[in-house]
Amino acid sequence: MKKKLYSLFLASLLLLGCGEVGIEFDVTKTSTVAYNVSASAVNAQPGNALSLSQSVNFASDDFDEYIEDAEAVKIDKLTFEFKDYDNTSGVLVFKDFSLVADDQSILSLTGLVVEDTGVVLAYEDGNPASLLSAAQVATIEGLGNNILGRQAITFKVDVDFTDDIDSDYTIELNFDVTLRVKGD
Amino acid sequence: MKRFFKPLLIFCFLAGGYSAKAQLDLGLLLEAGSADANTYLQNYMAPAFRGLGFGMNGGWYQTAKPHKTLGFDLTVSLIASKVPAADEFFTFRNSDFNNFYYKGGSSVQVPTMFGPNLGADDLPQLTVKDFNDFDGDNDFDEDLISISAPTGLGLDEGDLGNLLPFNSVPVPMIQAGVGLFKGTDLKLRFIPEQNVEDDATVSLLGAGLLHDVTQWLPGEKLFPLSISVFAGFTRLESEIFFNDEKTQSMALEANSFMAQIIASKKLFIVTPYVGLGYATSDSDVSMLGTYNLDNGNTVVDPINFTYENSGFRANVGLTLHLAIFNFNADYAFQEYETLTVGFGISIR
Repeated sequence: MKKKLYSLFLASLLLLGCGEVGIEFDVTKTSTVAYNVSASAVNAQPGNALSLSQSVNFASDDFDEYIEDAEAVKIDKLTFEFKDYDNTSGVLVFKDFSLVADDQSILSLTGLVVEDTGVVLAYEDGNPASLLSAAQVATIEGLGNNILGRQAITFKVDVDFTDDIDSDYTIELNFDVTLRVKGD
Repeated sequence: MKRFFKPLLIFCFLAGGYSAKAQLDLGLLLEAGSADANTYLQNYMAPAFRGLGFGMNGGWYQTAKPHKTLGFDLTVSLIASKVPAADEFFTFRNSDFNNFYYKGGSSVQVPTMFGPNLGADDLPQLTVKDFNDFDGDNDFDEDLISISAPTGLGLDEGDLGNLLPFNSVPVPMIQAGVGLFKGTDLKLRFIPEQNVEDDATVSLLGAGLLHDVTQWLPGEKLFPLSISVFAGFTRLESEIFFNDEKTQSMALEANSFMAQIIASKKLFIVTPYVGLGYATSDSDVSMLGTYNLDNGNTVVDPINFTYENSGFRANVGLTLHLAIFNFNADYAFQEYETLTVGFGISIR
């Protein structure tokens, strides 16, 4: 009886039910993958080429509290930045840069000057200004399923320089990831 | 975060009907400072507690005519406080928050809990700053996470919407009335403190006096109406515990008061009536206890806000008498208009 009385009270106060949509919301977070490019490591290579790899699990690293109820995942935006390069010699060095995710290309650029770039937009959902090919966009879109499946993604960057470089620097990749979460 | 998440989820559920996940991670906001959480919750939950206050003033009487001495009535009512369209949304202003903002401008309309049930595509995203420098780069202004504003519950779309005629806060009420002397009724509302499986307590106390003033008017017998004055207050207290030790809880204390002049006329088996007066109410909502945050800080009694309503109240009603049974409907005009339907017995 007490429980019924209380339930009656709660029914008025605590608002029963919900509309047809239910509890649905988006969570967006920027996940960063950074690589430290060591000048000594690059310059020690005969062709001044370097390959760096990282395995990242966005689901557990950034969306642990939400991934269980996620029904879709989308990568909205990819930006990159080369930073902290110190050109002490004044010599311009060029590089080819490529990024693959689970052995599939998502970004490939050639003839870049080695310098601090600021944040560069590589891809944005719905934005025609993209550095990616259609196939690379498809790969980016497919990565959402990996995150939804809580799978780690291995990102590998390959940088091929035309000469020795003057200093260490950092390559930073930023993925804007949105989870569509459906509550119970 | 997670150990703090649970009580907040419960709080949000109780306050806003959330289920497994809160859209707005209030634990995160509280770590940033309880001011943001207080501001958001106070706005989001306003219709519920304001509606409760207006509703608690309903259902007091079904006629202006008091009982004869020791006559009595027992009435059960369901009061629906209509949420005005303006209270289905509130304006989220960036300037009202410290670590929480809308990227698309300085302000945005977001649903209250009594707003429509919207999907993620129709809800603005609100962004939490990296107030605690989680990434250790000394940038406290960068974005930490963006999350959809909490949806309204769309109550008029759900199961409750099938029962209620409009988007409203339902308030059940039970009371007894007894005739004293000189055309005076005492109305009582009383639920002693109830423990609900050690998880919560609730109690209700209210009293009112209805006094016939027709008897004091010259030519009383010739007067075609019963005219009375009424004054009554109601106090509701509830506490819901988040842990077995009962050291963390949500507490609600709501008070209402109303004074009115009422006129009615019995016509065969029906009694139409009107009332005019003034009503006030207030609700105080608190999240009590000591909470340890993941950032090492401790917050004590982090949530507390109060709602206050006051204004003129006019109502019209009709009571149908079938032997000792009464069926009643009443509509009150005020900021949150209320529809009351009641059923009861009345003797003498």
